[in-house]
Amino acid sequence: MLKKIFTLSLLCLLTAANITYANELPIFSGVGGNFTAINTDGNVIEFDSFKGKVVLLAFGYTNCADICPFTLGYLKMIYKILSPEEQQGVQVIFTTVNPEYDTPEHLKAFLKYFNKDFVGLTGTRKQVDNIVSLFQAKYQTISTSGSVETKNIRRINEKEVASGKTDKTTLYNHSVMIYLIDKQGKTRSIDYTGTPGDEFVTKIRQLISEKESS
Amino acid sequence: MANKMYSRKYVRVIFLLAVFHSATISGEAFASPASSSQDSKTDERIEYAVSLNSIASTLMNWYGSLITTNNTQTVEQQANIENIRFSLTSQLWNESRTVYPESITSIQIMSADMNKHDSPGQYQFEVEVLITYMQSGTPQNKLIHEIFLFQTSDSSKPEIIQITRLTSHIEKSTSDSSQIATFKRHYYKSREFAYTWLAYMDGVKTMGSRINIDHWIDKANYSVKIGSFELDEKVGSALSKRNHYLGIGGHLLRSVTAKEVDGKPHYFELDIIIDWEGTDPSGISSIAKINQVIQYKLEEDGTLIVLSVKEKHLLPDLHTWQKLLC
Repeated sequence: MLKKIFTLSLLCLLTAANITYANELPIFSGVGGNFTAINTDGNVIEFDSFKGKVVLLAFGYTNCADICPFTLGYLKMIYKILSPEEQQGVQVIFTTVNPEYDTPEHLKAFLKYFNKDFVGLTGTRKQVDNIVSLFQAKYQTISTSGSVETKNIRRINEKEVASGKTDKTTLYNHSVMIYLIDKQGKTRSIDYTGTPGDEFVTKIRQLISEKESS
Repeated sequence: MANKMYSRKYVRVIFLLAVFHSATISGEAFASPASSSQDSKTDERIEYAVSLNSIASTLMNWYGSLITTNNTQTVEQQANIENIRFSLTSQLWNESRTVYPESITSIQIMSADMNKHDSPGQYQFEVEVLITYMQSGTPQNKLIHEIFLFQTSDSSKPEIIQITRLTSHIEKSTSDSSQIATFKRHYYKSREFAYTWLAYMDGVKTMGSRINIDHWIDKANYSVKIGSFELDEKVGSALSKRNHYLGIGGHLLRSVTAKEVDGKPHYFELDIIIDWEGTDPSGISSIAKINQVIQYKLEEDGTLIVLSVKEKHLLPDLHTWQKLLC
C-alpha cells in the first residue's frame, strides 16, 4: 500500500514537473467504442447514448480502499471547477470491475458521496469485461483466498445485506486511467490523478467547445 | 505538393538493425513542419511514410537478393526458406552487384541514415553492412559503407538511380553463428514484405506486385478490430472499409517478428507493430498503435502468399503509468 502511494506520489511529482498543456488532443484509435451496460437506475444503456457530452470514464469498485476514492475525489474536484453550464456538457462515469458485488443501488449510494451527477455502470461480468477490453484497461483479482469479509475493509459505504449474512467481496487491482472522451464518443486523452487539475480542465473545456459533427 | 513544399527540408532517419530481430527502419519525420495545420501535418506524414516504406522495401529486396540460395538441396527441398525468391532489380545495377563478395551467407545492416535531397522525390540512404561470406570454406567478414540514391514517384516503385561505395574493408573478427543464422534471405523477405504491405496500405498500389497481391487480395481473410468496429472480410474489401473508417495517414513499422508455424513447414506468422498517424474522417488528428498478425505460406517456387491478416488496435504508448494497476 505504502509502496503504491509512493509510486503514485512520485509520478504526480514527475508529471507536475513537466506540465505541458496539450493544444491538440488526437483520437486514440481503437481505445473505447460503444457498449451496453446497466446504469445506477438499473436500466440497460448504450454508451452511445452519452454522445453529445464530454465523458470522463474511470474503472474501479466500491470496496476499493486504495485508488478509487482518490480518483473519484479528484474527479469531484475537477467537476467542481467547471461552471454549471460546462457541467451540463460533461458526464463522469465510474464503471465497476466487480459487477457481482456492485449492484446498481449500491453503486448509486457509493457515488452519492462524491457527486450526485456521477453515473455508475455495472452489468454482467461479460458486459464489464467487454468495456474493460474496449478501453484496453486491466484488472486482476488480488484476494488470495477468494472473497474477504467487508468488515475488514476501509470503505466509503456499507452495503445492505440480509440480517445474519456475512458481507463478502473480492478484491481487485485495476487500471488507474481516466479516459477523456469527446462528444462523438472518441477517446482523446488518457489521464490520471497525477494530471494537474488546471491542465485536465483545459482539456475538458477544449472538448466542450468542439463542434459536434455528424 | 508536399514534395515541393518540403524539398529543401532535411530529413534524417537513423536506424540500427544491429542484432535485433525485431528492429525496423524508423525515425522522426520532418523536423520542423512549415505549417501547423492538420492537413499539412497529415500530408507530411503520408509523404514520409510512403517514401520510407517504399525505399526500405527496395533496400530489403536488394540485400536479401545478394544472399546465396541453398543450392545444395534436393528438388523436394527447394521450398526451403533460404531459397525464397526476390524480384530482380533493374539490370542497370548488375555490375554493382558484382562488387559484393561471392557466396554471401548473411548480411547485417549495422546503421543507416536517410536524407531527403533537394531534387523532388529523391532520397539518399547511407548504409553500413556487415557481410559474411565463404572463402575457401572459411567464413569471412567484410564491412561495407555505401550510399543509395532513390527516385520516388506516385506512379512507380522507387528506383535506385545511383550507388556510391564509400569504404569496404575486411573485418578480422568472424561473425558468430547465431548472427549468420539470423540475417539471411527470409529475414530480408519478411521485412521486404512488411514495408511493402505498409506502403500498399497507404495507397502505393504499384508496390502490390512485389508482394504478389493479385494472388491473395481476394482470397485471404482480413479481420480488423478497432474498438467496437469489427470487420472480417477478404483483404481487398476489408482494407478499403478499414481505411475509410481510420481516415488518411501514414503507417510506420515499429517491430517485426517472423516465425515458422509449429508443425506446418513453409507456413509462417509475421507479427508486426505499426504506428499510424493521420486525420480521421471528421478531420481530427488521430493516432494508432496497430498490431497485425499475418500468416503466409511459401510456395514451392519460393513466392510468398498471404493466407490471413488479423489486426487490432492497441493502447498507444503514452505514459509510464498507463499500465499501473492499483
